Amino acid sequence: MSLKYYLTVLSPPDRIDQKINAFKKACFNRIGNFQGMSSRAHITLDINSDEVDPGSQKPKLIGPFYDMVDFIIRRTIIVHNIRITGFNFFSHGPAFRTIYAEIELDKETSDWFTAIKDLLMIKKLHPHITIARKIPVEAFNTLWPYFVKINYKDEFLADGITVLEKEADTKFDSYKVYKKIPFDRNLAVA
Amino acid sequence: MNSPFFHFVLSLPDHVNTEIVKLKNEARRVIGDYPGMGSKPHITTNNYPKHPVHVHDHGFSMFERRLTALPAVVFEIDSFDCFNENNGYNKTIYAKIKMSDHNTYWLKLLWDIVGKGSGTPHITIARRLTPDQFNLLWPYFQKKELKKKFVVSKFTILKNLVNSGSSVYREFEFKGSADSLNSVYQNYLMRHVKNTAAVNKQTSLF
Repeated sequence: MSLKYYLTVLSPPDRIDQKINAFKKACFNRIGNFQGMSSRAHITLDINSDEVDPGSQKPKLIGPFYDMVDFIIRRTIIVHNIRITGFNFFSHGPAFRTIYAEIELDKETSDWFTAIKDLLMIKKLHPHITIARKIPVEAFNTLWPYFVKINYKDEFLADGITVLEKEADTKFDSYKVYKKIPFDRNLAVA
Repeated sequence: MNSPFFHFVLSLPDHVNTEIVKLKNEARRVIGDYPGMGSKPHITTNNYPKHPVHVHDHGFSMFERRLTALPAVVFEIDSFDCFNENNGYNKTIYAKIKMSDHNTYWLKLLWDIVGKGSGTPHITIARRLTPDQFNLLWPYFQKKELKKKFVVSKFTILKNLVNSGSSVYREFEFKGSADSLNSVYQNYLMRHVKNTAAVNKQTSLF
């Protein structure tokens, strides 16, 4: 029985990915390697592990769950314009920090995220686009003054969710697309 | 008179079945024998056919196409609860099912096929308890923790005979996917979307 990880994300367009990756590259130039350095820009919604059924090759819980969620999302969640407003950071205890691009959470956007959160049974959600994940506080102190000075504003249309999958016990496996579920476009006009 | 009647339930996967049977046996150790202690657990919503029995001579085959187009569904058990039975005397202890948004949608689709059940979905552990039995047993379940996600992949029609328990009459497997849902439920959706005004741009299917 093989175990896989399932990562559910909002995937911004290439244009945003290139920007975020330019920031990552700049970080690398100052502090060297860090986690998620070469991953594609994304907003994490949820992460799960699940056993894959050997017969159908379908994850046992995630499979039927996302079949149903697919049906609902296509019809009830409307494409939404997401705005990026500069940078912020998380603290992981006293020794580590994560720098991320901040998502503007006005009422409309946070209601929109809440609808997704409830539908996907996510317990806690703080939408953000990670730039430098869990770096030592010394590295953070080197980088943060630069980020404070950058005025980065951007926006993109979130047009669907992407579920990625990866083998849990293969160290070098990378995430591949398991399923894409588009949001509703028509209702936005109606 | 001993005429049969049918009861629609959702079957539990084996590992959850085992767990509930274990709980039923624990209950028996606490209060002794009680009604239904040996019956097979399932998820019930008090759902019965809406037509007289003779209509179902063909074994509920009219459900088949749409039921098999439904995908299996993920439910989550979240601790225990109890309710008073209609007679105001007996009580039932059950494993509570957490109703998430997607469960609500799924049940609407199911009920559109087989007719609506009258209760919230639950897994009965001990029913028709006398107040004495209940007072002994409830504290025991109140402090018990149970959290479990599982997949329900079968719709089961039980045939009950008033004086002699129930047996499985017919089972349908939920083997649909997002695609089969989309094609089979297009009509259903058209019927409902028409009546749904867009509320705050966030619309509801139902």
